[in-house]
Amino acid sequence: MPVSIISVKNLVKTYRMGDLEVHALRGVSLDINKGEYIAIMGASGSGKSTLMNILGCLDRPTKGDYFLDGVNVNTYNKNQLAEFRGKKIGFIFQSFNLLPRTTALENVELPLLYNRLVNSKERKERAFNALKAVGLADRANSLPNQLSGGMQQRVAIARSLVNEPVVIMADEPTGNLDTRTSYEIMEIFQSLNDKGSTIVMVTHEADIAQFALSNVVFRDGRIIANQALKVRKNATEELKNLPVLDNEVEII
Amino acid sequence: MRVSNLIKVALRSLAKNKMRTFLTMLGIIIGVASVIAMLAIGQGSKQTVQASISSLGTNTIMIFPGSSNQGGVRGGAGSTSTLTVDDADAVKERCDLVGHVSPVVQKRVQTIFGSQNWNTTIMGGLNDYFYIRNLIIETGNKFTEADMRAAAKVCIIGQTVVTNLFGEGSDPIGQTIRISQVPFKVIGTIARKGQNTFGQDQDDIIIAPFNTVFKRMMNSTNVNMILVSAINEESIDGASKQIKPVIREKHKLLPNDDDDFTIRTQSDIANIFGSISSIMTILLAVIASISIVVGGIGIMNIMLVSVTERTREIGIRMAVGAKGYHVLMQFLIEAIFIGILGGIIGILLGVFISIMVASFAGWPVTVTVFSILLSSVFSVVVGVFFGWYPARKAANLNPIDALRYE
Repeated sequence: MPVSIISVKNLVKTYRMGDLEVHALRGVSLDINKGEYIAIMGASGSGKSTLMNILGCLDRPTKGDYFLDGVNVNTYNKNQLAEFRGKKIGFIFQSFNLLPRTTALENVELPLLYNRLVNSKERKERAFNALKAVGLADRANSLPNQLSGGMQQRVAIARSLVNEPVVIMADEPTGNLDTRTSYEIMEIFQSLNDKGSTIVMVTHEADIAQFALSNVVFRDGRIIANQALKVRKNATEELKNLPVLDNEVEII
Repeated sequence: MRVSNLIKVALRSLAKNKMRTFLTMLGIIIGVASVIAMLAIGQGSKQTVQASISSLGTNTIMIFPGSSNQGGVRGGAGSTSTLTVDDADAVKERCDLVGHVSPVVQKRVQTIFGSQNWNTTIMGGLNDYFYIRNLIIETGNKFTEADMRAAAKVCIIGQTVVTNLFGEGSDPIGQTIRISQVPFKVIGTIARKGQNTFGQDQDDIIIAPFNTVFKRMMNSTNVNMILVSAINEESIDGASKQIKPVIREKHKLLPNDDDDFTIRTQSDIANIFGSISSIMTILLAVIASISIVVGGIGIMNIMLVSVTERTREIGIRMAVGAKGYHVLMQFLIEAIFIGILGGIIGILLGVFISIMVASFAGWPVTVTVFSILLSSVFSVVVGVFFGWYPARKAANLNPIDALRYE
């Protein structure tokens, strides 16, 4: 019996821009089980980012219920939401969103900084382990601007892992990366998922979505398709098939 | 999140922008330093004035002749000579709050010793004069009773006169000087007193027995003033109240007549100067406080820029679990820290400036605990007050908007 981690029912989100009402979500229902790896696809303005914000407890729906880890999030106030985010959700963004002029290790420590139960020794240890998990143990003291895009995103992944969240929310995680680096990130995602992490990923790249376990497609604020992938791509193998110096080859 | 973490985060972000932090602090530093220095200088000048007023003598009451009023034409103070030796004797006899009394006559005279000559003032007074004016005999002796009675031609001279007639460091005791052609024997010198409040050289003086000056050198039967000392500081007002009716009676004034004399106490003068320098001190402090407020606005300005510049950072922190309170505290602590550190540097700078002023101006510049407390409290309050608005603004940001901010 699969355990449902995320459950949304008839989610409606309406923005008001002057006199105009924008219907970003028009009744979305979705269940995500523990251990799922789901890719949300759709064109710009289809409502996938709005859903992502609501799922990430950064925004509230106009109507509808949202249960995360058994809790009706709608009943929470702003501060409770913040605490909930800090404990239950790991975020990965398209533009990495690392703190500038702050070392990789300190960036990874950030979510634990706002958790009273973690002391500084434990915080450093856990942050270092998370960095090790994404293969950046040797770059712990590097600043973000000393790291490549792929490395920065791996630091961001480490940051999203460090609080042991029930779900990882990735908003276009490969949007700023080249193909090879994107596949490397997908390799990390797949290995995290294999170890039991639940991942919700928004993307508009069809090839990236194929690394997930199932795809949800949005159009005009509604889900038009929700299906498990029959053939799932394996990132490690795809990486082997890529030309080694693909960039140079293209230039020639 | 623990408070220690918040402080660490705030300090780290200040350390990342050292130059900006310092420039922000500068307003507070200058403000606090000027408050400290201004108050110290104000206090110092007040003390200087008070010291020089008390150098006039202790518990001194001065009785001056009053204004003339003849046929409706009123002259200024001192325009008539109404005080007599009898007035002084009556005051001495009948007022029990009065300690020493000395009638005083004075005259500008040319003095000659050998090839040197010098224009100075000769004062005729009783030995009481030395007590009242707080004059100390440095070398030699005071006048004897016999000197007084016989109107002996002896004198005691101030240091300026010593220097000008005899040369620096010479011993004039036993020498004879000519004062307005009359030979006087120098029997003593007065210890240096320096300038008084009004810039007069108190050492440029010759003192001779009252009768000597009064009978030999003056053409009047009146005295220039009567100097009185009260028995103690508390009795100054009481003594002047006792003196007034005595002199009115001696002068046979009717109840409706104005006084033909003026009584000034040392505390009158001290009060006037005290209140002048208090006003000056307050004025200086207010001006300096304005610069602290300007410094505070500087903090607010930079904090607002900082909040805008770090919108994304705020968004990231909020996304990973920071509550509004955490963000508020982070920025508030930054502002308070700028206030406190600026305050401390300002206090040190202010004390330094005070010491410099003291050594250049030769004033007793006093840094008071009050001024340090005032400016520390002020700088923290400024930090909180001007840090609150930007911090509040940061805390109220919507995490989605903050994350999207470019």
